[in-house]
Amino acid sequence: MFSLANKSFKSRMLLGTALYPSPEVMKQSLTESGAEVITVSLRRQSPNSKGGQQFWEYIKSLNLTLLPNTAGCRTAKEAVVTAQMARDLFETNWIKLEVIGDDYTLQPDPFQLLEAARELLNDGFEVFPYSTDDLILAQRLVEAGCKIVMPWAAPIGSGQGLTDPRALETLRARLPETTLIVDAGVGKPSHAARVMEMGFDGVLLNSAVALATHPPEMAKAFALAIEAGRMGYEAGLMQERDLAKPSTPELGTPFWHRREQTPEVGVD
Amino acid sequence: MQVLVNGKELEIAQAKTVSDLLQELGYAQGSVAVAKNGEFLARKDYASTVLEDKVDLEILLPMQGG
Repeated sequence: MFSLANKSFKSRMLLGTALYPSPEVMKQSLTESGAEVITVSLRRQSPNSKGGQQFWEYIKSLNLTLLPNTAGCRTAKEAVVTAQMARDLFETNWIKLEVIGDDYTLQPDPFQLLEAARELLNDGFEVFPYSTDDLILAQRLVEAGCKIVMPWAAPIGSGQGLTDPRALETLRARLPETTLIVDAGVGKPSHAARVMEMGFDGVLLNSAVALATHPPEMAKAFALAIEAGRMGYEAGLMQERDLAKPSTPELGTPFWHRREQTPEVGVD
Repeated sequence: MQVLVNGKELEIAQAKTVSDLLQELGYAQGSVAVAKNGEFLARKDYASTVLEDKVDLEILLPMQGG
């Protein structure tokens, strides 16, 4: 079981609800993923569109754990008010805290993020801060009281995968007690497997599933990759070696006595 | 009375409170979140919050998100 903010889950995959080609495909993808935590948002919409109401009724019927986000917020103040609105609407104190500092990269503003996190923690929120892979920012968020930090692998929606795997490894090594979830930039199941092998606690993704040719199948592929990566981590990976070492025993190698006549041939 | 709803000016004739306004605009109860003049307004306070001229309201609905 996976413990996240005092709740237990079977799946270590957190899945977004945006960008699917249709509500039906989203539904199939959520089912195939096995994800028990899904991200949602809130936006200005016409009361006549009925889209928001229908989406909300459907989401409620799934009986999954909701993680609302503050996507699009640019300041701590905007993010705090949006989080309070999300708590009122979705009836949860969980918030995926996003405070964007740059339009081109959608990179979080670390200063505003930390300020908003402090305020929301004081107000009783369970804060899931979307951060970069910067170690000091992650440490400050943890010192402020965050039990969870969600570093990016690459910019949101880019699908680039692990642009700086060393930085992610460092985060894991330096924050062994913190729940670390890689959020953003994951493009392929192998990216998810790799961060899970590093010991990350979970993966949050959306575009990689929703923009796949067949989203439900991709949701399943990610679920398997995340499970495989976690099992690999728990099983303990072998140490890398600089040189080759034969796995087949050398004792009793055939034609050994002829080697002196053909010195170029090595042992595989 | 003029109010600002999601950045658009609206002329309101009947509504006296935020709760009235939500009903007048056709928002379903229980499916919106509101901020008033940039500050969060709790659902329990909609009925008791009297609209003032030029008040700036943000009315948000659930939406798909990543």
